[in-house]
Amino acid sequence: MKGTRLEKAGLYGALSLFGLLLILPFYYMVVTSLRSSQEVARPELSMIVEQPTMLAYDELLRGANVAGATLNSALIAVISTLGACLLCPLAGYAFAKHVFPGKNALFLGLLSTLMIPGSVLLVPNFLLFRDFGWLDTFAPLIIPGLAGAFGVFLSRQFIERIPDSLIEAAHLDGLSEPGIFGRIILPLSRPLVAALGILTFLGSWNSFVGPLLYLVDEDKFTLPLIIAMLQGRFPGGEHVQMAGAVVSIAPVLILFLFFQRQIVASLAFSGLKE
Amino acid sequence: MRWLASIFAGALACAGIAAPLQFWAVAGSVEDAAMLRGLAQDFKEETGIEVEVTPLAWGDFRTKYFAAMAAGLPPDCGLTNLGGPFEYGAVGGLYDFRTELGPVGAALEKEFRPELLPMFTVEDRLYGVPSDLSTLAVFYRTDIFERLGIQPPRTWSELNRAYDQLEADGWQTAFSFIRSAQWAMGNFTMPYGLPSIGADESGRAKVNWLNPEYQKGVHFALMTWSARSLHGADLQSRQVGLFRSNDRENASPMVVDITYFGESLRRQAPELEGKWAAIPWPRADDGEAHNVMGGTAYVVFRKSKRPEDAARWIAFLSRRESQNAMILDRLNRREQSSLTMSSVQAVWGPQNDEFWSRPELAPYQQARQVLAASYQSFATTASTPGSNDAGRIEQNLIDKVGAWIRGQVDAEAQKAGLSRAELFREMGSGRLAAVRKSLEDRARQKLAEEYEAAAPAANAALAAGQARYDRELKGISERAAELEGQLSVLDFAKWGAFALILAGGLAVALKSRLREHFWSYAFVAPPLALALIFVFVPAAAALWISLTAYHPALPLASARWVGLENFAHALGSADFWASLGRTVLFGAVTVPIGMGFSLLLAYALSMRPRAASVWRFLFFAPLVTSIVSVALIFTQLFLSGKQGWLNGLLLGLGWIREAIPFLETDQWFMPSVMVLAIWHGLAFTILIFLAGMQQIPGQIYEAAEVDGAGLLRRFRHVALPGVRPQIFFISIMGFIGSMQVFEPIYILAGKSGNAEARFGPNDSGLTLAPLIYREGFETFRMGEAAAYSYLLFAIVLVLSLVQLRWAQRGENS
Repeated sequence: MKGTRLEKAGLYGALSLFGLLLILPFYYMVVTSLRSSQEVARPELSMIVEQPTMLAYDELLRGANVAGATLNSALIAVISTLGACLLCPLAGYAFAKHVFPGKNALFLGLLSTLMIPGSVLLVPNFLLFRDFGWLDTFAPLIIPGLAGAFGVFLSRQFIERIPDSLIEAAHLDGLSEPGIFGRIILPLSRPLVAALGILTFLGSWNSFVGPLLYLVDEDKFTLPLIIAMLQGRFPGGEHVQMAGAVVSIAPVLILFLFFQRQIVASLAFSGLKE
Repeated sequence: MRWLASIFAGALACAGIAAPLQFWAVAGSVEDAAMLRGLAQDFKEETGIEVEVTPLAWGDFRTKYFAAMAAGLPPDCGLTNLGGPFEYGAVGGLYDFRTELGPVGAALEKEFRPELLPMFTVEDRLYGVPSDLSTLAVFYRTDIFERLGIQPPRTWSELNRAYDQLEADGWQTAFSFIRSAQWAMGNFTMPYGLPSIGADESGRAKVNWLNPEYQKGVHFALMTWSARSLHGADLQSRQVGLFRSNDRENASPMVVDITYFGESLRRQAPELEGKWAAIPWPRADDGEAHNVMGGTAYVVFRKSKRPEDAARWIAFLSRRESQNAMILDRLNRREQSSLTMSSVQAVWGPQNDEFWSRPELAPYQQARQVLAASYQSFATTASTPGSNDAGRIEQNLIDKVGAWIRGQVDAEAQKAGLSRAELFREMGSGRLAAVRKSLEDRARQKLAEEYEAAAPAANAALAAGQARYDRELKGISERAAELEGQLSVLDFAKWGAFALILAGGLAVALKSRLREHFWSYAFVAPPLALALIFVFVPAAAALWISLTAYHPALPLASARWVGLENFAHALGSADFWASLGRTVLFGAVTVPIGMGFSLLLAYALSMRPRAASVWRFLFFAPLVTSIVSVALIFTQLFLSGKQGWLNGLLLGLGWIREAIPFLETDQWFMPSVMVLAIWHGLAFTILIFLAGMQQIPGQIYEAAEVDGAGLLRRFRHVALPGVRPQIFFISIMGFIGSMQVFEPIYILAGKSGNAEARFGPNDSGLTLAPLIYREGFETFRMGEAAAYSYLLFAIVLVLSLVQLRWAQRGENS
């Protein structure tokens, strides 16, 4: 960057100050998770650990089904992600490139679901899932979100930019519609699929209200639910609660470290409505 | 794999082999679950009945029990909170121990002090029996008390004198667990025989709040909790630290806490062994000794096919031998050890002396005496419909007056040029008597005014609760069966949707004009079908539910048409307008502040600083972290002593004189939520702005630079105008998002750790989404919840339309 010395100082100063504010909670989390229960109970403030120990993690694993919850969350997130990565581009392709009766009305109808806030649906969806016998199963956490309107919208925006000539050529080659989608559209939509995948995965992995309302059996709990539950299971065990926070945050943070560019690009993509 | 197991179990049951009895236990720890499993093993050997124990954590368990009941999947029997028997029994979900559970169930009642049972009794039906109890004790440092010549307090005036003497010496006092808890208020009012809710001559439930005796008790409680207790409701472990410390700044030589606090002390502060003692909660000077309890209760669910087996299991657990085994088990858990209080009479009687005289119980004789003494003064009062609503009103009042008293004390301290601790030292030494009297009088008057204002609403809530109970729930267990099979509007909506999908499919298959577009329709079918079933059907159903009164534990056919009553009630309720105000304020604060910071940071990042990827990682990391985990971290950062890092920082910098009770007072709770929300939301907005700024052509910047524009001027004249579309997008999306804020409030309010927690002190965090959640899933008024959600929908719709209009205008220009 260019600028006067003063400007540079201001710039780096602001970056450092905010950087510190952003990192501090994570630092607190790690430091506290390494404390013993005796050290947590000290009345004075301390920013370092005197005798780091993994006891909190041990207690966490014995007291809460963290491993099972991680698997549950992963299972739900992966199925949701696969579904979204296939079904959204499929519909997006039809809405972008096909001409068929009722297309605009159907698309607008689909988009209108975006205006209905999730909290409006809490009560009736609970009753609906009960009616389906889906309470205390993963179905309500996976099936309704398999092909969301927002994903279809993003897909249409992206696929519209693929040149029609490619599709026409494929038609001339005698490719069927599923063939065109599988051989032409999908390979050209890698950035789209990455964005859909990352958005869906993060949304599912971090979701809280759905699991809170629909899951009963602790063996089926997802990670955020188990993490929130630590407040009740380890009252006063701040170190154990923080160990839980580390366990839930660390994997995505490591993934983020490796895929930073793609993740940032995907999220920016989602925010940029043309 | 659990469902496979349950199918398997179902098959076994059909084959005539009994499935295990399902028992859910709200348990404090994994060890408790293990202990219950061990007892289940003994029970099986004795009776041949197998019991499967499933632990539930404190906090969310009410949602879980309720969801299971609504889903028709409750266990055979369960261990729940003390309110459970009334809550689940009143909706017809439980068996009556007296008449429906055979001789074993009927005999069980005799194991307990009769004074314990009113809370579980509804119209002579006994819907539950107590399991463990907990109550308060005074813990004090004998070394410090001896040195100062303080007598262990046995009455309230002695307690007051002990405060004064300690404070005069520079110490502070702490009320930990019970501070500001409405249920604990009974310790102060019940010595006068005055529960919060009583009845008038005709037997109608009425609050006792205007009774001067009642207010006297509350006043005493508030003056000790709010004016004195300097450390607030910090987590338990911190309290041990305060008690063990010898540093006057940090220490409390006297702590009023739940009885098993003593075990935490023994475990975490072994160096204090022999230097502290515990005594029961002091009695009122002119009233009796009294203890109000927390604890757990056993219930048997009406869905159970084997209620008598469930009763036998509960009777087995309530035996003296089993209770003794539990006491020993809990004492032998190094880290988690505790001495809990059995609700069974025989445990505290002479017949159990042999057990208590075991050598390994020698260190606990003192604690046993405290518990035995407290057990004799235990009592509960009957629950009444609407008491939850009235209780919430009173709890909010307590929060409000408590914060007010705190503010008054701080103002007095400031006037005298003292810190709060110094002010109390002066007052304890007998100086500043006029200030003290004036403080007490003002608090008394404030309390009387607030109760005067709140009582009508509470009485109305009690009457409404009773009316609703009479209309909807009375005799429901007899009626439930006939409602079970009836069709409801949801059925029609659901089948209508399926018919629509089928018709669409048929039309495409049969009409040749449409059939040629077969693939197009096939491709768009999944999202459309999902939207129809999971958005449009529920949205329509919600509209219908908003026009009915419906309790979700009952079949949907029981929903009663009330027309626009719910909307009228919602628009007339103070809760709605207050929630709306809080929600709007939340958006109006977090969106612009978050946007301001993120514009600056995005600009800084767009200047391509060195080590750009490190900065990006730092700023974008919150994007991927779950709000639940982050909120859990912030809950600890906001702790109210100087142990909380935020308070520690502010105190260290000298910006504040007293630690701020961030999560405990209504004026600080929402600002704390806002800090968390801004922190967590910053990354996404930086990202959007950065993407926008990177699209600004480099030449424009260069031209500005040639003109001599510095960094700040380029920000104002180039970057800011360049991201105008993003600013609009973020402000609308941010505002829509903040209309629905839920998780940060839920976690910061500690709801996942404490089933009694509200959405923040004095409902200060009750915004629209929490209001919907509370109505629907905590007070089970689904009709009102649906009405609230439609009002929220209307607001979001207006905002969305504004955005849409604007976006279209942008496209056209």
